[in-house]
Amino acid sequence: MAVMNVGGRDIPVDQEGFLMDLTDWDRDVAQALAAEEGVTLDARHWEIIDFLRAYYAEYQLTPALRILTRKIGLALGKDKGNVEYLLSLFPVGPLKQACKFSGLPKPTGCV
Amino acid sequence: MPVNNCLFILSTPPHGSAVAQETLDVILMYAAFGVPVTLLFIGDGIFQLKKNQSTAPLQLKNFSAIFRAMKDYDIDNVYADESAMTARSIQLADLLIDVTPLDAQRQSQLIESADLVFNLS
Repeated sequence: MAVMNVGGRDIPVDQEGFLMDLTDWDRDVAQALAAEEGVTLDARHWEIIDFLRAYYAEYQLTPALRILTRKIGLALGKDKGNVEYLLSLFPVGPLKQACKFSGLPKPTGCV
Repeated sequence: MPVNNCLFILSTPPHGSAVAQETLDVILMYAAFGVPVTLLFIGDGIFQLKKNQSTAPLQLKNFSAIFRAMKDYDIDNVYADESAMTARSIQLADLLIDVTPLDAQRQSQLIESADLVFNLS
């Protein structure tokens, strides 16, 4: 376990940088998590993060990538409902990195 | 052999062991790859679909909300053993998602018609 300092708060994270306590998440924490990986969050990232967090809050689930892209296409526009678009925002892996910045658990499985 | 119709038989209660949650992971995986999935809840498995589950005293995640996401995975064929529901005084309105009750004969037909049957217990 490691600790990340955000605005004077100590936030525990696991070896891969996922939050240990999901309730620690706020937008400053998200920016700090992203900065660790060289990403600066802007409006395009936030709409995906907000979408993922809302989906998780509703269903206790991070959807599989195929399902996520379909849902994002329906909710945010067809041009955004594809893996290429998500990869352009979350270059290390659309699901894993987006979940990390969103303060959600590490996705299980590889899809 | 391409699997055109995969039937999952769910017979365990939701939180007493990891079986229900692990099976749910398998179901979502199949569905995410576009395999048509059918679910049949029998015995205590019907408790998995009960509304208003509270897992806080067990310090477990309440994964029952995941069932409501099944429509996103195109899982629409969900059946339950009607005698199991009757024996447990469970009505359709008590359940998180729409379920079609089946008698024993129609359950047999469902199993017969599946290409692949999963029954983890």
